[in-house]
Amino acid sequence: MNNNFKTFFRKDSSRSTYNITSTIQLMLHFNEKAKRNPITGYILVSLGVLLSASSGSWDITNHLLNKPETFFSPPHAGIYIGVAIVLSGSVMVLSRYYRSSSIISNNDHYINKLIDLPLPMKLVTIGVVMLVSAGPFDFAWHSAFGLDGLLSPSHSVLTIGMAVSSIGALLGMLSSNNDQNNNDNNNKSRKFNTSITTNSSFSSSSIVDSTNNDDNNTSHAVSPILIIIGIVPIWITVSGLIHMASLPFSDTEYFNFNPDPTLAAIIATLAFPFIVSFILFSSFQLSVRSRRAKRMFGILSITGIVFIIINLTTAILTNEYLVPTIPFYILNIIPIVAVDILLSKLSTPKTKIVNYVAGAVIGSIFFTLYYPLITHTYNEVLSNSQTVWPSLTSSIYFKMIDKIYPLMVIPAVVTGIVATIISSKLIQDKN
Amino acid sequence: MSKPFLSKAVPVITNVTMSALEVRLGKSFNIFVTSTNQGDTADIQIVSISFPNLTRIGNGNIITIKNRNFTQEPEFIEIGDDIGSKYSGLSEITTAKYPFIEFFSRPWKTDTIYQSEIEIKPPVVGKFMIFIKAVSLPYNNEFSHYPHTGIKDHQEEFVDTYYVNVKN
Repeated sequence: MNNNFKTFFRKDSSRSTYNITSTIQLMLHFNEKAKRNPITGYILVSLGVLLSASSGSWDITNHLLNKPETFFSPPHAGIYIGVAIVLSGSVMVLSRYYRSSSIISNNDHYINKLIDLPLPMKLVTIGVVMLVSAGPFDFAWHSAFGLDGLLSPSHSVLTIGMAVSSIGALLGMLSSNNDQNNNDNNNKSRKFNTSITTNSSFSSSSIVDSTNNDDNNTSHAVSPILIIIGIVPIWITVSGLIHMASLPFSDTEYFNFNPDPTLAAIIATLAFPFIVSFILFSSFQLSVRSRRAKRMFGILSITGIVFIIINLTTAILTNEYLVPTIPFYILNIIPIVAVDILLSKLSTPKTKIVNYVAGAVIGSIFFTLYYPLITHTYNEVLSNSQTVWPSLTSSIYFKMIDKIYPLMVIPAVVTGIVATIISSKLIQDKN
Repeated sequence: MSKPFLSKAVPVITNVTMSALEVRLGKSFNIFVTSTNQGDTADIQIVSISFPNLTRIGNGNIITIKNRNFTQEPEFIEIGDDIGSKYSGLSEITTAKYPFIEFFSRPWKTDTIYQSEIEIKPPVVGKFMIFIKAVSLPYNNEFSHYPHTGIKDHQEEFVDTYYVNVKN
C-alpha cells in the first residue's frame, strides 16, 4: 500500500502503467478479502443504514426550511443510496451463508432455509424487506395523498426496517467476529498439536498454558471501529422513531397524525434519555467485554462524538440561523467524555453505583443533545407558544430551558439509570 | 453566548402593472406583480392577490397563472377556507370571505425579486377589484408587511387596491 502511494507521485511516466496495474491489483485483493470476510456484509448494512438515517434527519430540516416540491431532493437521494448499500450488504451476508453452510441441504425448501437463518441474518433480512418495500409504498402514498408528514405508514415501515437491519448488523458483526476468532483458535490448536508430535522436547503443560493464554487474549476481541459502526446507526434510527412519535410534523391535507402534545412530551422525556444512555453505556460495555479488559476509554466518547457530528451536519449547519449556536452544541462532548473517563477509571462489575452515575449524567443531557428538533416537541406544551420558525428556533429553545428542563431532568436521570441496568443485563446475558 | 439573531425581513411590492384599465365583458387582462425583500432573509414571504368580486377561482376559467418564479407552488384559497389573520400566521384563524392566491418563497433572501403574471377574465360587468399585499413571517413589526397603511381586507391586514372597469 505504501509503495503504491509513493509511486503515484513520481514523475517518471514509465511507472504510470505500473501504478494503474498495481492499484487495480490492490483493489481486487481487498475485494477478495472483503468477500471472504463474513463481517463485510454486516458492515455494509450498518453503513447503509447510517447514510439513510442521517439523510432522513437532513430531510426533516430540509422540509422545515424549504418545503421541497420534489420527490428527488438530495436528502431523498441519500436515503435511497443508503438503502442500496444495505441491500448489497444483505445480499453479501446471505449469499456467503448459503455458500458456506453445511447444515442446509440443497433440497431444503426455501422457507426452511429462511427459518433456519441465524438471528442476525433474520433481522437483516426482515429489515431489508421492510426497507425495500417502503420505497414504492412511499411513492404510492405521495401519489394518492400528496406531501406526507413525518409520521406516515410508509415512513414508519422505512424507519422500523432501518432499525431492525441495524440491530441485526451489529449482532452479526459481534457473532461473526466470535466465530472467526474461534476458527482462528481451532487452527492454532491444530498447529500446536502438529508441533507436539514433531517436537517432543516441549513440555505438554507449557503448550497448554500458551494455548490458554491465546484464548484469553484473542477470543471475543472486537475492533472498536466495528462497535461504533454497528451501534451508531441503531442510535440514529431509534431516535428517528422517537422523533416520529413526538414531533408535530404530521398534519397534512388528508391526515393528521400529529401526536397529542402532552403525550409527545412524555415520550420524548422518557425515550430520548433512555436511548442515549443505553447506546453510550452499551458501547462502553461492548468494548470492555470484547477486549476482556477491565476498563476501556474512548469508544463511548467516539460514539457520542459521531452522533454529535451527524446532528450538527444535518440539523444545525443546514439552517443558517443556527450556525452561531454550534459552540453551544459542541459542549455536549464534555459530559460524554467525562462519563467515559469515569467509567474507564472506576467501573467494575461490583461498583454499580458508578454505572448509575454515568447513566444519570448522559440521560440528563438529552435536551441539549437533541437540539434543535426537540424545540418543536416541547413548544407544543408551552402556554402562549409561538410558531417555531427556522429563524426563531434557537431563541425559543433557550427561552424554554428554564421552564421545561427542571420538570424533565429527574425522569431523564431515572430513565438514564434504568438504561444502564438493562444494557448491563443484556450484554451479560449474551456473554 | 451572544443574543440569538432575530430576522427582520422587509417585504415590498415594487411594481404592479395592469395590461388594461378597461376591458369588455368576455375579454381578459393581465396583471404583473413584482416584489422583493429589503430586509433580512425571511423564513417565508407571501404575496397575496385577492379577488373580492369573485366567488371562486379554482376552475381555471377566470384566473390563469401565466408566469411565476417563486420557489414554492402557489396556494389557492376559496371562500370558507380557514386562514390566518392580523399578521399572526395561523395563530389567529378567520374564514375567507373571497378567494385569493398566495405566492410565496421559502426562504426569501435579501434583495431577491420574485414576480408573477396572472391573466384574469372578469365574469361580470362593473368594477373588478384586486387587493395586493405582502407579508413576511415571522412577523416582527410594521415593516414585516406591505403596505403599511390603507384599507384592510378580510384578514384585517392592509392591502393596496387596484381595479379594472368591465363593460359590455
